[in-house]
This record gives sequence, structure tokens and C-alpha cells, in this order.
Amino acid sequence: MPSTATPSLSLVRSVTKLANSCYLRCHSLVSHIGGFIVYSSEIFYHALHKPLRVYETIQQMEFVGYQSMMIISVAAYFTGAVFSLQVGEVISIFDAQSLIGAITCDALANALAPIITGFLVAGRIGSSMTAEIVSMKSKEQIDALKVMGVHPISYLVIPRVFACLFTVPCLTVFFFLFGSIGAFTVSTFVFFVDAGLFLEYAILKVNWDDISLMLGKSLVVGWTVGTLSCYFGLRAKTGNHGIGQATVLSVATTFIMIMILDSLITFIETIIL
Amino acid sequence: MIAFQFKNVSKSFQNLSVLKDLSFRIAKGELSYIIGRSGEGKSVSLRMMVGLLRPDSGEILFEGDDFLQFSSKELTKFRKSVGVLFQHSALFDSLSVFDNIVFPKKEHSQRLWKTDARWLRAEAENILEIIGLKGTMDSMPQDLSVGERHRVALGRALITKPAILFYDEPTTGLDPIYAKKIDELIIQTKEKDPNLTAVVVSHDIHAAMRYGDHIIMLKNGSTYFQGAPDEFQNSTDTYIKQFLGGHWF
Repeated sequence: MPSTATPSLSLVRSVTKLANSCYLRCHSLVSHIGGFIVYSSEIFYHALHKPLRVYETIQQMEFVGYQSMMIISVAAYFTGAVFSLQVGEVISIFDAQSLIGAITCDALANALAPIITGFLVAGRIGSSMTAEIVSMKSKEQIDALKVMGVHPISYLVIPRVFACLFTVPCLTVFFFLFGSIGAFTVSTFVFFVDAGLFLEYAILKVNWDDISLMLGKSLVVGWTVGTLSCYFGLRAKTGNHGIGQATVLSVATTFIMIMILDSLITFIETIIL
Repeated sequence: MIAFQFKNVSKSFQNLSVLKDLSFRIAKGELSYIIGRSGEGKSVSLRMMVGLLRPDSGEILFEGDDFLQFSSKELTKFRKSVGVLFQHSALFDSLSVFDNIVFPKKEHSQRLWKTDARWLRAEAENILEIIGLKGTMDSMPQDLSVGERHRVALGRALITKPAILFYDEPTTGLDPIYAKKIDELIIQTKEKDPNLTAVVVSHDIHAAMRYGDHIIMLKNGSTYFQGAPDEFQNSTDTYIKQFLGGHWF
């Protein structure tokens, strides 16, 4: 008799465990969505109210923008170079190497620059913002802010979100320029395309619509990195484990959100507009 | 006049009940000590008094008003009139001693112009003299010892001239010399402003007996004793005697 009862019992246990795990994950997801809506509304409220955090925002802009320029320029140069190398190999079959500049610059403006800049900023700056806020939480510094009558969203989140909003578009333009230089190097020195022809086709293909789309995407990316990094920092459990967990969750969620939002904007721009 | 009154306050964290029907009062202008063993809910009570935690049930009255019904504006106004010294100082690592001390002053002012910088520096210098840390204005918190950081945190709490000062285990983790200095500062602050209401959460029964006007002892999340230090010392209760002897179970 027990031989028939045991497998069914273990099956029930497994199903119950699975159902419980699904419930907890759904609960956590709903709680995060609700929490993020409230948090976003608080950001809007504090962004429109005094005090203006000009000094703190400039400090954060230096951290987000200036300190990321090196990594952005190196990553952009090699992205542009490798991309044009791949493209050049294919289009040289059709003897159309002169189009390398147009294809690479178009890809950089429409997709690569905002996404890769977003990934780099999320990985380098977003993770650091999350870790800093969790560390502040562990050391009771956020409680100290509250008891001094200072709202943590106003003091910690607003400068970081604004810094990301202002600097990510600049970094994206920077990425686009350095990526184009990478593509230009490969195009002229590997595929021997005339420099003037490279520029002519690139300028012909990349117009103001592409640039404004790139800037629009980068604004969304900046908002996503700034808000999510601070959100996961404020929601995290304290302690060393909490810092690690929050940082991983923050970076992973930001990456996914950047991809989803980028696809959505591209879809709207291509299909609807 | 009563500053704070707790009426049957209870609080649980998940399944752990920390406060059970806790009731006590804190009079205005008094130096009150909340004492008890670790985990009895002393810090939780203090966090409730500054609005960082809300009870599951019960009432908290501040000067007769329902503290739990305060709007966010009222709570901010209340918080601007109090100072808190946290257990781990809670100084901002990225700010210098000067910036840490003047932080609440800067935040509470609507607008500070360049000319105010001199005035702020003079205020900070005055505070640093009171806390005995003259010359550390431009140091960073990580360059200071734990005791010094505690004193800077006290300076930050004092700069707004608060009506109520809360100390969360101010001497925990300090050597006896630094602990004595902090105790002396608590007394000095109280003596300078007799109207100041001070609430100290502490394990240090001897400091409570020596300096306190009122002692509240917690046991199992409830009030075990409430009264003057003499009553506490003369109590015949076994638990209190063990606590006084330093060998409670």
C-alpha cells in the first residue's frame, strides 16, 4: 500500500511547492509594480517642488557623465569598428564597401548607441547607485534623513535621476561619434573606402529623424537607469547580502527594461509613425 | 506637561512580537531613560516616537495630539523640531564634518546665499567647541574614531536647537572614556537648556540612575517599571535588583 501512496504524496508536495513559489513570485512582482508606481509619482512630486537640488545634481552629473566618458569612448570605438568589419565582409560580396559608413552610422544612431550606452551606464553607474543607497540604508543614514525632515526621494533620487536624464543623451551622442570614428577607421584602412565617400553616404543616411530618435531613446534609457537603480536601493534588505541581491536585481531589471522599451519605441517609430 | 504618551502599543515583525501593550509617558523638560535587555523593544519604541515605525495597535500621543494621525507636513514640522543621535552615528560618508553638522540647518533653510556660509561656519565652530572636536571641521567621518563620530552626530542633532533630543544607545560600543564623554555631553546639553526633553535608550543602568529624571524599564515588550531613579534603586523587585547588580537572566 505505501508504495502507491508515496509517489502521489510527493507529487502533491511538489505541486504545492511549485504553486507556492509561483504565488510568491507573482506577489513580489505585483508588489514591485505597485511600489514602482507610487515611487514614480513621488519622483514627479518632488521634481516639481522645492528645494532644487542643483549642487547635488551637478555632482551626480560629474559621476555619471564625466567619469563614464572613457569607458563609453573605448566601447563605442570598438563597437563601431567591429560592426563595420562584419558589415564590410558581407557587402564586399556585392562590391558595395562604400556603404559601410551609411549602414554602421544608421545602426549606431537607431539601435546600438542608446542600448549599449544604457547597458554601460546601468552596469557601471546604476549598480554603484544601488549599492550606495543600500549601504546608506544599512548605516541608518536614510532614517537620519527622514528624522531631519528631508525626504530621501528629494535628496537621493531626484539628483541621480536628473543626472541620468541630462548625461545619458550626451553619452549616447558621444558613443555615436566614437562609434562612427571606429567605423571610419575600418572602412578607410581595411576596405580602402574613400573618406569623402564614407562621410557623404553616412550623412545622407543618418538624418535628423534618426538623431532625434536616438536622443528620445537615450532620454528613456536615462530615466530607466536612474529610477530603477535608486528604486532597488531603497527597497533592498540591509546588510552585505542585501547589497549584492539589490545590485544584481537592479542591473538585470534595468537591462531587460532597456531592451523592452527600446523595442517598443522602435516598433512605434517604424510601424505606427 | 506630558510630551509623549504610549497607550497599549503593540508591534510585531512577521511572527515576532516585540511590543505588547506598552504604556508609558515622557514628561516635557525631563531626561528620561528607557532601559532594558537587548531585544525588549527599546529602539523600536524610540523609532515610533520619531515616526520611523508605526505600531500595529495602540495609541501614541504627542503633547495630547494623536501622533499617528499626523499628516506628512505635520510630521516633517515635528521632525524639524527634534534631534536624533543614532546608534551608529549615521553620518554621511561623502560629506565632511562641517557639512554633516550644518546639514539640517542648510536643509531647513529655504535659501542660503554665499554670505550665509560664514555664519554657518561660525555656527559649526561653536558646535564643535561644545562637543570638544575643534579643528576637525574639514575631516571626513571615516578619519574619526567611533566616539568622535558619535560626538559629531550629536553636534548635527544640536545645531537646530531641538526641543526634543533622542539618543539611541549613545554609549554602546564605546570605551569607558568616550562613553563618559558622551554622558557628560548629554548632561551638559540638558543643563544648558532646562526646557529640553531628552529620551535616552540605553543599557547603561548606572548612567540612567545618575543622570535620569525618569526611568522606564521594559521587559518582554511591556513596561516593567516607570518612575524616578530613587524608586528604581530602592525597589525590592528581584528582576530590578538583578538588573542593578548586572547579572540578569
